[in-house]
Amino acid sequence: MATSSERVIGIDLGTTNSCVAIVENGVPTVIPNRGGYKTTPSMIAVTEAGKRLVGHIAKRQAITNAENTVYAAKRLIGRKWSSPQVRNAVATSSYRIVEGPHQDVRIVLREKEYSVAEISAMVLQEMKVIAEDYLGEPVTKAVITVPAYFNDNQRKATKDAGEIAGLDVIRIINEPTAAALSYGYGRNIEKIVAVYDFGGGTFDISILEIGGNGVFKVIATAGDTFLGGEDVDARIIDWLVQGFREEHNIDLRQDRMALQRLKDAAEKAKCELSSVRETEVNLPFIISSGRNEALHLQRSIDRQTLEELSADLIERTVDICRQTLEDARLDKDEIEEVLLVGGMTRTPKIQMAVQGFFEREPSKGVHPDECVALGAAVQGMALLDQSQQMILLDVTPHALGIMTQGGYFEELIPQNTTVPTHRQKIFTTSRDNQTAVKILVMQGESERADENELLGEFILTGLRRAPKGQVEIEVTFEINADGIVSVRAKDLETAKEQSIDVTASSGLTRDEVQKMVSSAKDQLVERRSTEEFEAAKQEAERLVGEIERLFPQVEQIVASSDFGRDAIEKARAILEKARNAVKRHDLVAVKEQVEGLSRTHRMFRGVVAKKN
Amino acid sequence: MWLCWLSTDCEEADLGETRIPKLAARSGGTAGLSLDVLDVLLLSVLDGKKGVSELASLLATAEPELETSLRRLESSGLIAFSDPLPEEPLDLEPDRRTRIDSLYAKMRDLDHYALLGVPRGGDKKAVKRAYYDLAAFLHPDRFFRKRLGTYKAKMEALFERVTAAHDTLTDKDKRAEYDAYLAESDRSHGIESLLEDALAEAKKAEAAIEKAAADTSEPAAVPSAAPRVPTAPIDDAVRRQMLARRLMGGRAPSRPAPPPSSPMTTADAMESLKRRYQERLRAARQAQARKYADIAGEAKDPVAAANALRVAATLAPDDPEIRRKSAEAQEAAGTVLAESYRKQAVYEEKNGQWPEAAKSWRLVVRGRPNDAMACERAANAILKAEGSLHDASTLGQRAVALEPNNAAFRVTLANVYVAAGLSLNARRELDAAAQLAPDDATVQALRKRAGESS
Repeated sequence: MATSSERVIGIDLGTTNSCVAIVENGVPTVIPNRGGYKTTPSMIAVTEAGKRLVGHIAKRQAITNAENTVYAAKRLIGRKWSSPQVRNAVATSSYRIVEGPHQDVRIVLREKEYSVAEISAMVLQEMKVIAEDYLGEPVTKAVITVPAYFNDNQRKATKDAGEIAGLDVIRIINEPTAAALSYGYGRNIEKIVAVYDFGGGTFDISILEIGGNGVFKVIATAGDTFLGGEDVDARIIDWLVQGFREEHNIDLRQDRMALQRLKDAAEKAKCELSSVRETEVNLPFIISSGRNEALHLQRSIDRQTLEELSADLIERTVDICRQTLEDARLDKDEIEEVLLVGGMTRTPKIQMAVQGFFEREPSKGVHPDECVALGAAVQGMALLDQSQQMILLDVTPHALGIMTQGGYFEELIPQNTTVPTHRQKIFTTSRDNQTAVKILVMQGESERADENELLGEFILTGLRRAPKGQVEIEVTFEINADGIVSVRAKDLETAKEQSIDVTASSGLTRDEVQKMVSSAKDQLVERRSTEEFEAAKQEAERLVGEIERLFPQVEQIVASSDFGRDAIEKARAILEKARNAVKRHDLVAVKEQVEGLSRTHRMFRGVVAKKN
Repeated sequence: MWLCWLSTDCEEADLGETRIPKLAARSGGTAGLSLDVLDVLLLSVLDGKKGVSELASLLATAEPELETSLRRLESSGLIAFSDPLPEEPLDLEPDRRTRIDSLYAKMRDLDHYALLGVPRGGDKKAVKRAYYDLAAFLHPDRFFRKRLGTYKAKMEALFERVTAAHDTLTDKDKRAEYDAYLAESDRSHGIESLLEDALAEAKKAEAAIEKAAADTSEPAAVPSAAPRVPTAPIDDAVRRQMLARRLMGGRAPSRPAPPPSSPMTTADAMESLKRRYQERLRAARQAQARKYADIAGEAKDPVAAANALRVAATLAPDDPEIRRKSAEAQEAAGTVLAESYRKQAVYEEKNGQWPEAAKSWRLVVRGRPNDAMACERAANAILKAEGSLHDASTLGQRAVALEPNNAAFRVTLANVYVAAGLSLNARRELDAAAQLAPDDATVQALRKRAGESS
């Protein structure tokens, strides 16, 4: 039996709702809040009197205190001010979002600025208190879940939030993985499962293999961190706002309170339409007309309308599922179970879409709102209790690499690599006499560096002065079991080394990266590609062969003149240089020689042709 | 399943390793001291952590030789010895440590199947099951926030290694490519063991013929093809006694007695009998050798031919024809073998497996000692694999000796010298390279650098 100090809670920090769980006597259990609810709205507010409200009470007063009530802070966590998602949130949120000092995001409540981590910390602290009330003792250790597709900056910010809330965050795990843990825990099954997790703010799909001996191996994972129930709500709001404008020629968006009421109504209508075919949106006194006359919004919406409004969002999730299955190199019929997680999966249309895609009825084995927190609690217990036969082999959801010359992203650790892992690659300098190299550590799937997330940067200095391409730099990426990324760069000649633990949640903005891409002064490495070398080598060897074939003829033709003999000597030297460059595996030199070779080849062909 | 091979040969900790050599605090450089290559190499790898046996394996040197060098360096005041670090307290049971150490020690030598303990043809399910067992054992989470000391890195490295094995063997395409590589490696191992078998067979055949010649009075029959159980060699003196006894003991001689005109002494009789015995023996050997040579002539596989001729040459060492043929066949087989190793080396280089590539290139060199390119690749691979710089320099020197006019080879050798801290030698090679390729920018840059650092 674990002692109280080893108690660990699992927290599902959701976009709209959060949930906390613990393993009690071997049984994973959700802890209800004081109101008896198993989930708590991820909302916080500051009242006029300066009082802080969290959860249901924050939600209840949201309409009357829209500007000082924060919802869906998870959509902002770990993001940079300049990101499109933040721009979008600034335009649609009823609370005020401003730029922070580190290109980060701040939220203004009653004139005070809060970082997003601080806001999330308030929710986490509430979950901690719920657990402590229930257990009657202090709790410090926690496992917190994040969307599988969160990048490192978002994970780090979430961990920071936990620390601000007074928690020892022993591990951050992925939501779909947690769902699979709660599904497979104590069942002794061997199965490949797909977890379709459509929550309030994010969509994830993960494919896992559950081994019979307590091993859970993630095979592939993908998702969209800006695709969730909130987006469906936004579609309903748009539809309501547009209808209202057509009828009254008034834009309801101008009024923050009206917008907050619309938001509530849209969410309520969406949920109701999961069980009934038609519902009514009824918002009396929503706004006053120019003639001081109160206007009401009253409109009925049926399930079909909702389905039409959200059809493309659902289609997007199916596309991601298809891609992930491909990444996992699996066929549909190899998936033996499909788990539905997240409130959105209550929608009949989504259930149909999932069933249609996987050609299999989704499992009823997990509770869509609770399984993530339960799985987090299970993982926490497994980490602290050595006697537990449960091990989670997770993957890195995004590729990791560095930016190379020309603004390209060169991948070192591919997406879906099982961690812990490490990879090395050798790069070379990209400019003559380059003495320093800046290593930009990035995460993402795009070939363009500026489209990926920048995780950190460091500089390796004191390189020997040499023509470009001749100084070799070995870059090593390492991800440990805690998911911490560390990067080392080493000058292979001097063995000089620089390294960082990539933990920075702020750094350069996309704009700055963009500038670096276009700047001529940037000192970035170049990749030493073997394919590139092979291609150059083949070309060089082909030309060498051709020239050698023509050599006797040309020699015979031109040997009588001094010029000719000179040319022959030069050609010989070029051949020798090219052979040496190939032998040395020197890409830059081979490429250089190819030019000389093709000139010589052209000349030789010309000489022979003229003679004949 | 893998428990079987784990329990059979667990590596034992080296108990003799009690003192750790380290660089002396105030060593004033090596100028004026007469140090050999090993001394210098040794100085370059001392880190105050590695013990004698570890250093010996790193430098591919025998421990006694290394100890001599260490004593010399100690008396020059260049190094000192420190007591080993006190054993770190670990939250890891001793048997688990043993198992991890044992696995870690042979991690590089085992192929994917052997590592997982799955038979070559094992299906995906078997691979997965074995992997899950090992992963559950090796994943660092098993000892979350526990003191693992150096075992943490070992476990992570092992985990990566078994994961790579799993990922390769559960992917159809990757597995096919890997199997092809393994087949090539098996092929070379097969050839190696066939060649060894041939030697054993030659010994057996010889023993059989001798036995036949000694035991029977008839001309020694060609032994049957079925291999005989090798018999213990008979001491010459014993054999002589046996012959004499037979001669004097009134038993009918097996052959018509020599003409009576020359009266026989015991010694003469013995001599003559011995001569005849040896003639018979030679005849039998030659007959058998010809038989093997015929087999070789019919064999389509150069390795089989080489094996048969090897046996033949052992049986008839004086036959010039057989000797010539055998030498040719050995070379042909060596070429096949070297080619197989070359293929492996290329696959290994491609996958960045430098230690393996170094091994394979070395074997190519063994088969083709005059292949300068193979020598150079071997030196380069050893350098990359951080293997024995001593060997790398030997191979690099050979490459340069074989092709003195190849600047690239000299650059490789220079790089080896640089790694070993032998800047004078490095500069010499680079100067030579510069003469050969005056316009080569790399050579110039390296030269400049070598000039600066010394």
